[in-house]
Amino acid sequence: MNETRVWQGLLWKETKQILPLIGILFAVSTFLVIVWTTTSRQVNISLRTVGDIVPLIMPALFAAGAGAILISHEKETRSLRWLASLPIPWQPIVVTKLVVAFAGLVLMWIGCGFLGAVAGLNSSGGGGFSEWRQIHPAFWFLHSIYVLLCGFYTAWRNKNAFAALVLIIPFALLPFVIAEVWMALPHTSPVQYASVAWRTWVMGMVTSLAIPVVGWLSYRAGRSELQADEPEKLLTRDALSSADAWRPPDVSAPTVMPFRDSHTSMVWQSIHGSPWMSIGLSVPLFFGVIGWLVLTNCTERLTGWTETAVGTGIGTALLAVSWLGVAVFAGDGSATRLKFLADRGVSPGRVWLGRHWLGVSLLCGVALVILAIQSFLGTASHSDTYHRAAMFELSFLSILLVFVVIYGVSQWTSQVVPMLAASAFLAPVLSLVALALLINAGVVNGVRLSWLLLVASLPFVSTFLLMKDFMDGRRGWKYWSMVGVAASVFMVAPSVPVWIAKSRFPSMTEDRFAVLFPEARQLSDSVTTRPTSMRYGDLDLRDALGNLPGEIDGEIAVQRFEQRDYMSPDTWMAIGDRESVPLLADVVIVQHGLEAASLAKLRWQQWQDDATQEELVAFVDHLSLTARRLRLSYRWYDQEVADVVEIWLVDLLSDDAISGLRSRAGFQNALRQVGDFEGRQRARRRAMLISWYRDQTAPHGRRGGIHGVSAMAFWFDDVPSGWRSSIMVRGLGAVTDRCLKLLDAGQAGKGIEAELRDLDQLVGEPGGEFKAGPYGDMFASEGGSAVHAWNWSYPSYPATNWFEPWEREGLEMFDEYSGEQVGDESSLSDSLLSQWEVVR
Amino acid sequence: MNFRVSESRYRLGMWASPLLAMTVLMWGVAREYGARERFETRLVQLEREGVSVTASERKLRYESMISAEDRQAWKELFDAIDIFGEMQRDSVEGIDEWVPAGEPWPAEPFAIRMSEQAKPLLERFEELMASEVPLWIPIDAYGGHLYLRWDYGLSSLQALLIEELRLAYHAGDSERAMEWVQKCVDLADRAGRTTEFQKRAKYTLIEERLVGIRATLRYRFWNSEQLEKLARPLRQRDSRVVPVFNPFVVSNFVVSDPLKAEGAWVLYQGEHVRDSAPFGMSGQHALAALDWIQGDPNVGKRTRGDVWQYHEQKERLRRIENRSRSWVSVPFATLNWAMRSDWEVAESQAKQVWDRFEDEQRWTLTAICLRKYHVENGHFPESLDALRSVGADAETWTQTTGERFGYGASGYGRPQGRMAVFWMDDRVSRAGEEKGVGSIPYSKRSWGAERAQQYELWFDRLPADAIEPLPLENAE
Repeated sequence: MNETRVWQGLLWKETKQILPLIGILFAVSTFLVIVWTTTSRQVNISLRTVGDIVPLIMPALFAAGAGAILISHEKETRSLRWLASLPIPWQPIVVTKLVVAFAGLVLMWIGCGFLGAVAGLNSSGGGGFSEWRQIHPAFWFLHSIYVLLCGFYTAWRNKNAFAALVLIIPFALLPFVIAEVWMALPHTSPVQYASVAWRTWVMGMVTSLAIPVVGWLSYRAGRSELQADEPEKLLTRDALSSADAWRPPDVSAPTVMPFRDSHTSMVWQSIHGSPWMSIGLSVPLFFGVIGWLVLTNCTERLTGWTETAVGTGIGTALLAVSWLGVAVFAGDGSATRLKFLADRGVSPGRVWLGRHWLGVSLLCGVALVILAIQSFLGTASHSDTYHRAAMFELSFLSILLVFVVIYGVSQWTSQVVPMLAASAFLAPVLSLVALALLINAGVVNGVRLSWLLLVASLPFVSTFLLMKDFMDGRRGWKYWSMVGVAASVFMVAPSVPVWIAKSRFPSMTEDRFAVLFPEARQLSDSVTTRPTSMRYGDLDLRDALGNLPGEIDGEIAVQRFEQRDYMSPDTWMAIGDRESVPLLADVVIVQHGLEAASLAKLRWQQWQDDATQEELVAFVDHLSLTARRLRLSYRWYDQEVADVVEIWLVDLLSDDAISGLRSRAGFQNALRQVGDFEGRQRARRRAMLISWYRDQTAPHGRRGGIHGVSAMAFWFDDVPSGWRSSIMVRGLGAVTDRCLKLLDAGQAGKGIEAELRDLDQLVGEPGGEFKAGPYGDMFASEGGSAVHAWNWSYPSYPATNWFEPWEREGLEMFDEYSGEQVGDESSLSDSLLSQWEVVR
Repeated sequence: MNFRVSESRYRLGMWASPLLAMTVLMWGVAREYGARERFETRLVQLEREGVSVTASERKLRYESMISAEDRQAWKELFDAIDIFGEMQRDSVEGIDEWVPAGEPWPAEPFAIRMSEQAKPLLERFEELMASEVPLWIPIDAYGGHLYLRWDYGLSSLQALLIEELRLAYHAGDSERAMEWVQKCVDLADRAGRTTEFQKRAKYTLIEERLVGIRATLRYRFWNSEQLEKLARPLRQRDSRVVPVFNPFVVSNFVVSDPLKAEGAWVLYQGEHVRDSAPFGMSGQHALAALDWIQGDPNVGKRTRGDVWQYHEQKERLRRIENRSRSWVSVPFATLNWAMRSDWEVAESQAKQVWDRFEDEQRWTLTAICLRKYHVENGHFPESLDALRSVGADAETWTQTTGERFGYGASGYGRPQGRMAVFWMDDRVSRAGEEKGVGSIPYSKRSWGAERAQQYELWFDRLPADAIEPLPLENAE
């Protein structure tokens, strides 16, 4: 035969076999990149740590799977036997497989590097796996060649494809183990300070030395597999006796009688079909248990090789869980093998159960062992900050649920993807993504555990329902549409409760929206003056360069003290002198301003001289102006702070100690301010509507996040953070609606408790209970008392001080002390006063 | 092998673990329901014991002890004091030093100026004290939790009194100084008269006052009678009872309704607890949290090496955490420290805090006795045992760990007992320092000398003497 044609033909065949694996791995990489870029920022950041090493993982997965595709798969389909029977030498067969695999590996590296660059992934930076990410990519390339050759070796030597895959793991870990052992040995000092670089160097050396060794071993294994079998040794004529001619040939021992129960038989088959596979999957689980118990019980800090061993143990255990799931429908569980049972009328349900039993028993056993040992060990000794276990203990149910999700998605993947090499690597990736999505749904989006359990059972339901078609090898449109529907439901189902909860979240009704929106727009459009912010005066007295002096002596300190003029209101609340300009509140500045006014009052009460009187009057006048300008603002927040300022003024004005000052101009201004009941309600209404309108119409990035205009995030603290931002605008609409209803009821003199309860419920019951909260009676002053000790707990909640006794007191004092003939306003205030008893 | 036996073994292996797992899960669920019922029962019991289990009860309990008018009066004063504190914006050299009479004090002009400015505040304070109005301490409410701001304004108020004490000390006027000390004592007494939680404010005030008193003992200032007056409140203290602050903490926990689970499709709960219990708190954890908070504060004896916790308490807390193991709570099995932090289930450190406070009081009392001995005899004693002559006893100069305070008086050709050093334990265990308070003062040690600022007191120390070694009582 023409040798060139032989090589060409073999190269073409191997290339055709390897291309699907390359395609699937690229498709998965692209899918993962899309998932990362479209998920929430919070999830993205946590996944990014893993995502940054995708360009390194995918070629490694290809290297591990190439042997399974090119050798194990051909063994299963017996095409290798057929090839060996052809009159072509074995060398081209073995060599073409190596050449094509190597070319595919290089292609994977180039492709993943390009994908990583396009997606902006990089392997630098800190975060998780940071040490692994510091290892030079050249080592990973070398390691992938090594893994490729190991995969070839195990595939040539093992009949069972799965066992061959599993056995790659200890080979692949060998360079890392040797490096850890090397680093643990006593070294001279320069070595221990360059741990990553030295580790990489050691691993690189080991890998470079191992490559030719494993390459030669796999070449030799291929030769022995493809060469002709040794002939059977025949007995010579002298060794034969007359009876030998009649002796029946040696046959193997009769098979053991089957078990009575078919489930037991299938479990026996799972275990004994490939003992190496069973051992290979059980051993990592055992090490995973040890690693997990160390992680949750060791109170000393894990460093060096122990840390690596624990991490590797747990990682390979999770991989083993996934491969337990893959083993259900791969290898001995493949459709072609199960067709044997289908042809003999064994029910699909029975087969499904039988295939799962080993994995389920094993995983339940592992979880029970962890529980038993942990219960025996007890909690790691209660410790301080420096002596704690690295990880908290997870409950029995939590561990089982992690197993269920990983195992379930993996068995689903292996039923859907018939190629072992592909499903063996797709399954762990997809199951981890599924686990992350379900955890995200529960922790970040608040989805109930019962719903997530239902979603987690979906892979099992899907494989059960499709078992008949699977066993019959029927993969028609019906099969694929069911798979598609199940996959879509699995991806969408975790979000369904969120959609329902969002749709039920309180909001303004459409009718109300239609009525209020035009009014709000008109009010917003009529705002022509830009508000100003308040600030402190020059409290720090910095020098021309903006520096503070260092330590100064007492005399200079006194001079600087005098310079600041602390008893002037402008020192604490500089608001400018333009009286008609709205003011934006700074709650700390206002608090200091009120405290300074309290000091001024105290000084006047104690000293009763002209200077202190003028100070107090100036503060009162200043605060009245502040309140008036805050009322001009369009932000709801400024109205609440204005309430606090006016409450302080009411407390002062109602104090008999200052009765002699009420006729002063500053105090008269204050009386007018606190007595302007109608003006206050108008200002509140206007501010609520404009804030709501501006929040609704703000650019997308700012909606729901404008301080003083939008809702405060902590109003909806009970809403899961994953979708809280999406209900902020809607939430403000609901708050606005309730506040306006409260205003209407209060102004009409009706009872307002229902509206207050509604509002309290909406903003998360800040006091723990309505009665004890800012909307309840216990917050307001007691009946009959003129004083109200405000506090700063609740100014960021809407309407906490609306229609409380201080408003009535302000009205009464204005009536009594203002000295103004207010005509209609007087009768208005009388009617309001008479209605007051109904309001609260 | 007999295939029947083999089949039985396979069947056992197949069925055993799944069945056992199902049994564990069902049993775990049953335990959860049982725990929730027991938690409800405990709530009823707590209510009978007088603990507030609803937000309104709690608010009533802690806010109803003072009228609105009186509350307003104290609030105005504390607000004025708060802004007064804001007025001291510059860093003045020596402002915090205790400078004896006759010594230069750079900060003196500023201290006098501030004293003048503080007059109306102090006058108002004296009016309120004279009128027997209960002391009001504000409560902050946020997110359903009540936070008692036990230090609000009180420390600042006492700081004003201590500044007057400092001025009197610098002026050499011990009579005036004693008046200010008495005002501090009265303030602390008034603070401790209302709820159990306000008592905590009292102890903080006492601690801060003792810092000032110790500073005045460094040089001769008080006479014997005044020293006895300083010692009297310390001698009359009741060190046997550890105050329990738990009812408020318990109340905060049960009022937060930890087992609440609102929402049919998603779970609505506070953000601060979602990380550790995203699917709601387990009944077993809630029970364990109650046990944790209601710990016995009288447990424990500190030994060297216990930095933050006493061994008995550690064991007790470990047992509680172990008992809290739930099989079906997701994700965490026990009431771990992350959950305790999120649910504000603090560790009970009442015994540690109390022992520390007791040590400070004994240390100060012994220091007063040392000065009194010096005033009456003209020199410091060679040993603390000599303080029996001025009314001290072994308990006075012994810390709660059983170790004596460190002490040494000068000699070496100088008049005996001209100078002395006296120090207490800094409660930190360091390698090589196995002798408790140690045999040399902190300021003489090669490292850790900065602890002298807080834990060491020199009597009649002059700079020239700083390098002279002292014969020490605990020396080896």
